[in-house]
Parts: sequence; C-alpha cells; structure tokens
Amino acid sequence: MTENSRPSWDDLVQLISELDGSDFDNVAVEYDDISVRMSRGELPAQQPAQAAPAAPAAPAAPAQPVVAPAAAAPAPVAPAPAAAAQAPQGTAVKSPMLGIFFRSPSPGEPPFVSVGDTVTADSVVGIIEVMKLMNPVNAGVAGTVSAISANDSEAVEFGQELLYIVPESV
Amino acid sequence: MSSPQETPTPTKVPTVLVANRGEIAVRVIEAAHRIGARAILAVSAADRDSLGAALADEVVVIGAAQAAQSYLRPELIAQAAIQTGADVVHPGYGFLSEQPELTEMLEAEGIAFAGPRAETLRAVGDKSSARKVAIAAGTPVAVAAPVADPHNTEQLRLLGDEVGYPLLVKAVYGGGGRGIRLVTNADELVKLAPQAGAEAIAAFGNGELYLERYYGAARHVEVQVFGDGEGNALIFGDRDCSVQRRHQKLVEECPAPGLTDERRKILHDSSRALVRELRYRGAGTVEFMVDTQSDDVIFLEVNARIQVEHPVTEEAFGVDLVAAQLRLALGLDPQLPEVAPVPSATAIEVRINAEDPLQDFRPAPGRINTVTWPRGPGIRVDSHLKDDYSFPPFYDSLMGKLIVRAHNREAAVEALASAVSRTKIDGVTTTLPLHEFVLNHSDFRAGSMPTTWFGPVWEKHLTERTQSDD
Repeated sequence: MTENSRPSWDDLVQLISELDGSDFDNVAVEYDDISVRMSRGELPAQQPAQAAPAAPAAPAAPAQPVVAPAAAAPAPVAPAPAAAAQAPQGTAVKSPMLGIFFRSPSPGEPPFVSVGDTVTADSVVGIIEVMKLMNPVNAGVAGTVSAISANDSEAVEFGQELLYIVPESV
Repeated sequence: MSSPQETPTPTKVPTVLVANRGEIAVRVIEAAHRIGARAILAVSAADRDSLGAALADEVVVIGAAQAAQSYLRPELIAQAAIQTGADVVHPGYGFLSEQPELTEMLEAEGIAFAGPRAETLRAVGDKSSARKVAIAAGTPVAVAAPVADPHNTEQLRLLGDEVGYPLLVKAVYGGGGRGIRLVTNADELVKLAPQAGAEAIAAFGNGELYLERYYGAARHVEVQVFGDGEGNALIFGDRDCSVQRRHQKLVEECPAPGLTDERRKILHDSSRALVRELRYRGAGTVEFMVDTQSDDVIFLEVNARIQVEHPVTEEAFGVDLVAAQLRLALGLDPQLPEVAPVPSATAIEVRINAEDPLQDFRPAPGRINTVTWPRGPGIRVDSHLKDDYSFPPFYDSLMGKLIVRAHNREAAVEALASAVSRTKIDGVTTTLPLHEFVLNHSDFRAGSMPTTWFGPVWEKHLTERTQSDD
C-alpha cells in the first residue's frame, strides 16, 4: 500500500486475508476515514448450526427491543415485525452484538436476502452497524430463508432474532 | 462547574447507562436512583439474570459473555448509550473506565462521561507521562537515573550514590517484572549492570537501563480526590491498602493508621497539586508508597476512576462519591462537603473473592446456594451475590465487599472480624478464612505493616496449618 493514499478495495481484501491468516483474536486497523475491525471470537450467529432437529423447536421469546434511539441512529418508529404471528419455522439467526440491523448493503439497494432465498452458511444475510462500523452477519447454516423478524434500520440487542432459516436436509 | 453536557431541564429525569457488571454495577444503579435518575444496565449475555439487571430500570444486552466481545468494546457501549437515549455513561472501574476512546466517542455524540476528560486519561495512563505530570505538580517521585553506559564503572558508582541503595536496575523497554535486578551496594551494581544490559538487549531488543530506588518495606497509602474540572480539589482523606498479595489489594481502611500529620500533609497537598495540574474532573485516587524505614513518600500513579475500595472513604466521611460523580457529569452540583483531613470514624473493608486461599488463590467460580450477610450498626455490604446464583467464570473473582465503620480502628477491626465470621456464602470457596486470619493477627491489629507483610505471613500460616493437620 502506498503512503498518503486511501487503500483500494484490493488493498483491504489483501489486508483482511493477511490478518485472517495471523494469530490475532481482535484486530482494528484504521486509515483516516477507513477502519477495519476483525474479531475471531465465538459469535453465536456464526457458529456452525447443529444438526437440524426433526421438528424445529419454537424459538425463544424475542428479546425486548431496545428503545428507539433519540436522535443519532436512523431507526424509524418500529412498524410491526415482518414476521407473521405464528412462530417462524427454522433456525434463528441471532444478532452477534447490539447495534442497528440493516438488511441491505446500503440504502436503496436490494436486501441481502428475502424470504424464499436459499443461502449457504457463509452467506451474508445482514449488517449490524455499531458506531459507523459495519459488521456482516452470516447465515451460519445452509438452507432457505423462512422469515425476517427484524426490520431494516431497527435497533437490536445481542442475541435478538434477525431472521429464520429452514436448514436444507442433509 | 462546566460540563460538555447541556444542563438537563428540571422536568426531565436523567438517564444513566451503567457500563459495568458485578458489585459496582449494583452500586452505580443505586446511586443513579438516589439522584432521581433512571438506570439502564448494559450487560453481556452472561449477566442477563444478574442482580444488577434485576435492579436496573432497563437492560440492554450488548454482546457475548466474553468481556472482549462486550464490556471491553467502547463502540458497543457508545452505541448502547445512543440507542437508549442515555445522558451519561458511568464506567465503574476496570473494563473501559480509563479508556479515552470511549470518552471521545461519547463526547462526539453529546453524551456525558462520569469520569475525567480523555486528555487526563491519556496524561496519567502510562507511567512515564504520569511521572512527568507528578514532577510538574511537585509531587515526590522515585529517584530514577538513566544509565549511559553499563560498562563505565566510575559513572555507575556516582549514579548509584545519587539514587541510594538498595536500588533496582531496570530495562527502559522492559515489562512484566523481567530484566529487573535488586542491588544493595556499589560493587554489586558494577558487576550486575553489564549483565542486565546484555539481558535487556536479548529480551527487549534494547539495552538501555535506568536505576531506581528500591523500597523493600513500604506501605500503600492513597488519597481520595474529587476535582471540579477547573483545578479545584476536595480531598477525602487517605486509605491504607497495604494488605496485598501479588499487588492485589485484600483489605483497605480509612484513614491510613499511624501517619504523622507532616506525612499526611505531604500526601494530601501533593494530591491537591496534581488535581490542579490536571484540572482533574470527578473522583480519582492518587497512590503513594510510604516507606516504613525512611521518611520517603513516593508517587506511584493516579487512578482516574472510582476505585473498588471507595466505600471505606464514603463510610468514614459520610459521603456518596458515586452519586457525586453522576451529578457532576450531568452538570449539577456534586453536593460534596469540605471535610477534615482525618475522619472521626474508621472504616475497614475486606474483599471477598471466589478464590481458594488454601490452593494458591485458584479461582473458584460456581453455584452459590445461599448467602447470609451479617447485620448490625456500621455494616455495609457491596455485593451482587444472591441466592441460587451461578457465579460466572468469565470475569474477575470479586464477590463483594464487607465494610464496617466504628468510632476508632480497634473497634472497627473487632467489629469487622465478627462480621466476617457471621458471613456465610454457601456453595463456593471464598477468601473469607483469609480475612479472619488477617483481622485477628497482632501485626494487623497494630497497623502500619508494609505491602510485603501478607505474602510470607500467609505462607507460614499455611505451612503450620498443614503440619498441625499431620
């Protein structure tokens, strides 16, 4: 990377793959207005899913949604969750941290996933923004998206269900 | 007093985000309620069912159980403060309490921080800059002299005389206790300095050395300050925290026993000067070594936070330092009085840890079945324990603090020894037996022991105990 210039996308990809091959558990790298933060800890939403049970258990009651932020966060007054009244089918993808949930890479773009889409365990299904840092959320399990339970731009807590995936049969 | 925060209108109930866990989370929640504020607790997934979570008006789960994914993440705390509409964040002690990063993130969002300014945290955050501040404030610091050449015998002898013996030879870039040598006279210094230099090059890639006076029998005495952020200081006496094991404090008391008026004046005046120099804001502690073999008083560091042992000061002087922190951060009058240098009562605290003092203080987390605390005049319990509580293994082992206040030290020691014997924590191993031993020991009853006292005395006690069992 040359000095005094912003890193290119390729630079970042290279940096991330180098960091990924290193021994760090937590890394934060910053250049002017670009920051890269990586963490290798256990994030429940990214853990490999256990073998799907024959009859998926009903997910636990949703965590209390956080009070909508006063000013800074772009959270709208929450409309009713997208999920239907009955318990959604499948494995819940839970938020790996507190933050603002975004369904698409940036405003106006199509969402990462919608109900009916098939995903692999590595598929990015959403983003959690924490103080302007974007943290991708992976599906964690291969299958079909059965429900989206958190709204776009919603303030969520750690462990809150974001969406549900019916695992593909093995 | 100024504050970056707009003064809340009297009609609005302020909201405090508590960014910590355990007993200090409970303490801050109670203080928030005391000043009429709402308390929101930011917890990890492991603390959803904690006592603090039950007492808070609202709970937000910020991240996974591991502190590195929750309590140690400034961005998660700042984000939680925004999402909950907090007016002020109280960081407790440890975790992010002295991280300028959190303070700056909050400042950018117009949220107050119940602690010093970021620049203060930086100024006292590392040893060398803290030392510079102390020197600028006229606070006595340990004599230290850089070694230009470890092979220059003549120069070494001069330096050694200047610093005084015994002294430590230390590597400038060393750490973790490595590369430190204790030297008692000039001949030893001349012999050991070249070895220490070579060792420093091998271990740290740099052979620079310095000499520092060594105090083998010093007490740990600290001064509680509260600054208004403009340079003015209130001094809330001193504490003795000399009962330590491997630099971990076990027992603390206020006031420090056996200090002459002259020494006490040096400690308090130096601390006041440091507050002025730093324009220190809020509660802080200035730590000193007080030598038992000379008249030397040596600055150690500034702890820019509320400390674990703050209750002894609160009890001895009858103040609420945590409520004062919150009020000051909210732009309100902290409502603290001017007090005399020595309180009229003595307060002593023991830290009760989930550790096995008979097994090298091995951590002993686990399920607590029942907890029984003593009752009576002057007894205070700061704890997050409750019946049927699984004490989590992810964090430090502090289960709570038992504090007793009495009219003098002798009465306080007696009352605390009795209170300790009436404390029952059923289900896990704790450090309570250690406290019974310390509080009944003639050396402790006499007071003024150095920090080196506890280690060997406890080892000897364990050996005798084993022999009498045989």
